Amino acid sequence: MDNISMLFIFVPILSLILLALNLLLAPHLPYEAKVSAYECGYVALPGQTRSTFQIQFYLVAILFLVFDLEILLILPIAVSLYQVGTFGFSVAVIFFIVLTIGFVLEIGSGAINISTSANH
Amino acid sequence: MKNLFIDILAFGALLSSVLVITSKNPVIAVIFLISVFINAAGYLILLGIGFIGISYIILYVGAIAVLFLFVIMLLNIRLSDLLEAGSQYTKNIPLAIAIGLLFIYEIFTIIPFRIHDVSLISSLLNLITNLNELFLTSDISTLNVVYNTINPILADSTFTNFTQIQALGQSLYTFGAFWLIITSVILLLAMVAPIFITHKSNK
Amino acid sequence: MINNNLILIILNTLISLIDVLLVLLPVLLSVAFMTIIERKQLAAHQRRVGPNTVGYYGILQPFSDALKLILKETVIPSQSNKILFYLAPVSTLIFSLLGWGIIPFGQGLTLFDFSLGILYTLALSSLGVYGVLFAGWSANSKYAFLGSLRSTAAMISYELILSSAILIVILLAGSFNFTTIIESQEAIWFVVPLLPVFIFYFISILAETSRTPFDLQEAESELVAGFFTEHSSIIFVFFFLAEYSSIVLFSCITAILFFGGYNMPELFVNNTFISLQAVVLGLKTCVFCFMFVWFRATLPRLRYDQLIEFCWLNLLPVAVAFIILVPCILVAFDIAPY
Repeated sequence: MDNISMLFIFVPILSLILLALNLLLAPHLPYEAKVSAYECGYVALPGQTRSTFQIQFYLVAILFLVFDLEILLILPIAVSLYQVGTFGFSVAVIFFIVLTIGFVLEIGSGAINISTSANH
Repeated sequence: MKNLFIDILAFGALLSSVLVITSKNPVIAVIFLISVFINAAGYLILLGIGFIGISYIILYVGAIAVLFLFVIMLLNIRLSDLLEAGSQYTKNIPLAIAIGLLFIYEIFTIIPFRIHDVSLISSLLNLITNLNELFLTSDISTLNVVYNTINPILADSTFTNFTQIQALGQSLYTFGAFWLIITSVILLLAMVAPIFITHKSNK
Repeated sequence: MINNNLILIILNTLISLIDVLLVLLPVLLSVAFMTIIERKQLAAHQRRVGPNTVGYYGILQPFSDALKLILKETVIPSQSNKILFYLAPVSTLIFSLLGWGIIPFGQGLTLFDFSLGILYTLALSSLGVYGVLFAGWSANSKYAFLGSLRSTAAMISYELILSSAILIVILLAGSFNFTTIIESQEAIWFVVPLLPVFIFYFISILAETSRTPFDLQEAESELVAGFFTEHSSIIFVFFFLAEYSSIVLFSCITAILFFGGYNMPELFVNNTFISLQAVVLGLKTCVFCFMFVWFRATLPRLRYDQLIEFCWLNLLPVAVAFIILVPCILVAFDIAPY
């Protein structure tokens, strides 16, 4: 067995050992006020948890997906820049120019602006 | 040892993909989906296709599954609504079967493998080959192209001593340049659409 | 014969177990000392004494804290999703500890000399988002949920900056392997040609480990304690350990990527037979750990919309510009690494 698979096996075991230690040694005396959701000393109102949130979070996630894909497609050229030379590099530049159009649109339309959309 | 790990990962991927469609809570389903992705990525890495495996984790797990979770949390679906809606989807079963069959047909056409031992599968493959001859022209040149692409032994890259990712960059930025630019246009569309959809709703 | 093989297998397993322990135990110790360093240093910045009771100079404070937290009761909210409530902190700890598997502490001194080392780090840091997201969702408390959403959006935004900075380093080194990256810095540390890249890289790792100018998830005045509001005792320790482990890990990776890793400047010639490479790497790591705490003591917290807009409107254009600029220079002068 090589070292890295040992690490992959050992680290979960370590965390399970810590969990087991806590289960064995710690007291367990729950009562209703203790196990209710935290609300600064008041009784928590039902139906407020897991509420809907702003669309901007979703937009951040989807733009992240696009940019992440873009960086992942650029990664192979980072190690083969010498081999592909000027041709491959100009392809990469064209690839980036097309995406920069989207980037300019994203900045120009103020899509990511959380503060302005909250005011409306 | 490696074979054992590969088997465990394959089994884990299958098991969690079954659990994705059987679990009731959508968030739990996404967790099993993440488990499918991680298992598949580990499988690919152990097979030696490290870059594809790690990009699976970075993209599918790091971006797509987060997006799914955001959508599910954004919609805040109540479990009872979901069960109610689920009962109406049974009328779409014929559509699902049709799409599934189409997918299997495509896979069997694209991936050239032969199983001589099992008579049922080989007869099915023969049937598909016959169907292909009916639909396509007799020289299946496109299929050969695909076959050459997925079999790296046949590609030119065997002659030079590239690392895997260098070979990928080499072919992506020279032979596949056109496809790369098309990809960038698709990505541009994927960026523009959500910006405008969310922009309209603000006003 | 079979008996011999069995003994060999057991021996191999034992040796790899010792190897893993040789990495993990110092890591856990350094994480423990990182907490006491932070408290002592913050105290020094604010003209206080800091913890000084437990052990000499308060040095045993983290161990007594850990012992106390292990012995405390784990309170599980009745509304929560129990399995996920445990799974989220455990997975956070696991993913942050697994990152140590590929760090080279010296020439060849690594658990796994992975050819895609740096991508492995990126993948693990993208997996780290889930611990935060599920911790907030499973607790079923509105503060935890809002904290986890904020934290997730910030983490994925700054991950873009992180991966583009790393991409630029890879362009100069021509490899994903940590050892090769270190060896290619023998002539000059990458921080010299890539100083602006280093600056936005460091900003992104501050946000990625959610340290102070960017610690919006635990903005005490708005969101109690962020995504771990409901987590107590040992599962809180897991989050704590994971956070400090990733601080030390990212300090180490900063030293490797931009400051020549285990290599000393050639001014200092080591004529002895003792390899000081691990010590050099450790000292460089300490400098960045110090900077993490220094920023915490100095900078005020950003507002949330400023945080996101700073990433998408200011940092990302700069990062994309550098992704174009650096290969431009490499191609124009024909100095791309072979």
